[in-house]
Amino acid sequence: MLRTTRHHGQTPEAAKPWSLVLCSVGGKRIAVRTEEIGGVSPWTEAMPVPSLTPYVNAVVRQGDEILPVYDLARLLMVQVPKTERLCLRAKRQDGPMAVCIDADVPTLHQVDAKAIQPAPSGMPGVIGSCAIGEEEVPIYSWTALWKSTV
Amino acid sequence: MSLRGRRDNVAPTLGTMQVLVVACGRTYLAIPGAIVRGVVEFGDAVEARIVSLFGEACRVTDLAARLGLPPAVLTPDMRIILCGEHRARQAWRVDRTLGIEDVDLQTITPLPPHFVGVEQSWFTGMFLFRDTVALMLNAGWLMSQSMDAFVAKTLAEGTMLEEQHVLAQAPGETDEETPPAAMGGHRLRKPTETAAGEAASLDVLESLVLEESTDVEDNQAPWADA
Repeated sequence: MLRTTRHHGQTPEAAKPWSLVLCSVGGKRIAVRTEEIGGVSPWTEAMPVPSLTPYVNAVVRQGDEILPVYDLARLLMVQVPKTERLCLRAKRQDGPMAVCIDADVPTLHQVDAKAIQPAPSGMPGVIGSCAIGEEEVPIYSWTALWKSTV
Repeated sequence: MSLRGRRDNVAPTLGTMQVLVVACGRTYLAIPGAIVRGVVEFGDAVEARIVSLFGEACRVTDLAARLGLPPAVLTPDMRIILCGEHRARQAWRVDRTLGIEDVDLQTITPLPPHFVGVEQSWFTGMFLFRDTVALMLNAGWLMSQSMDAFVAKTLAEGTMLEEQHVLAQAPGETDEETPPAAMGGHRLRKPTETAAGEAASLDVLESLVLEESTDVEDNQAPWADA
């Protein structure tokens, strides 16, 4: 029977460990699944774009490519220090976005699927949380973030 | 100073679009050259609230403020961009002009789909400009803006009231509110204080009459050398 593996809410996907990128935005630690990250590069000055789209009001040039900027720091109500910034390339179906993060180089972590806690309510874009080190870190998804904020 | 910079005397070629690149704060905006009728760059003019183009009054609008950016602060670099298309007239105040560019149409990309608001109607695209990016303003949107028709109407009403006021006076009698005589091609006009409520609410302080260059139709962007 084809549905057998989905019984009890378990799928082969859910059983796999989650590969997460841990980074910080304005001092707040967040995690994102690696498949939603396209890379990390030095931050280049963003150009403000007049916009009524929530949290999307700038573009950043990366070589010959122009990326829209998602202002995650504003959503989290923090500020990324101006002198030390990195650009996290966020993968999305309709094209990549740039997210400004702290200069701390993001790290990779494998987390057992069973260790992922359900998303706390009232945190847009958060699909779960997990303990990394001694810290409970929210796991963000760009898709979920988009649905809840734009 | 020529706005053409090092591109002096280079005519636009097929597949390119001539634009005037201006800055509003840290945002670079490209105005299609086809609608640009002039650039006002002398000191007093940038403070004008109303300008006249082709004999029609139009209100000077702060482009940054209209786009929701922090409004411009008066500086010597500030310019008023006069735009016209068909019967529409617009005058936009910008922080500064950066020059004319012949932009290869193939290098203009749409605004990313992540921008889902009304801004998609403000810009037709964007392109790499110097070490940053410039946003291509939608000429249709730019020309459809504002209150200029309203202002023109109220100014016309003001003028009518002025004329009625003058006619009502005895011949030879002077009127302090009569517009001063032309001064070097730039005539200052104050709307009458007797103009009805709408005009008063516009806070129209002065107008600057500008005439278009005679060679405006030669497709060589006469405003470029302003």
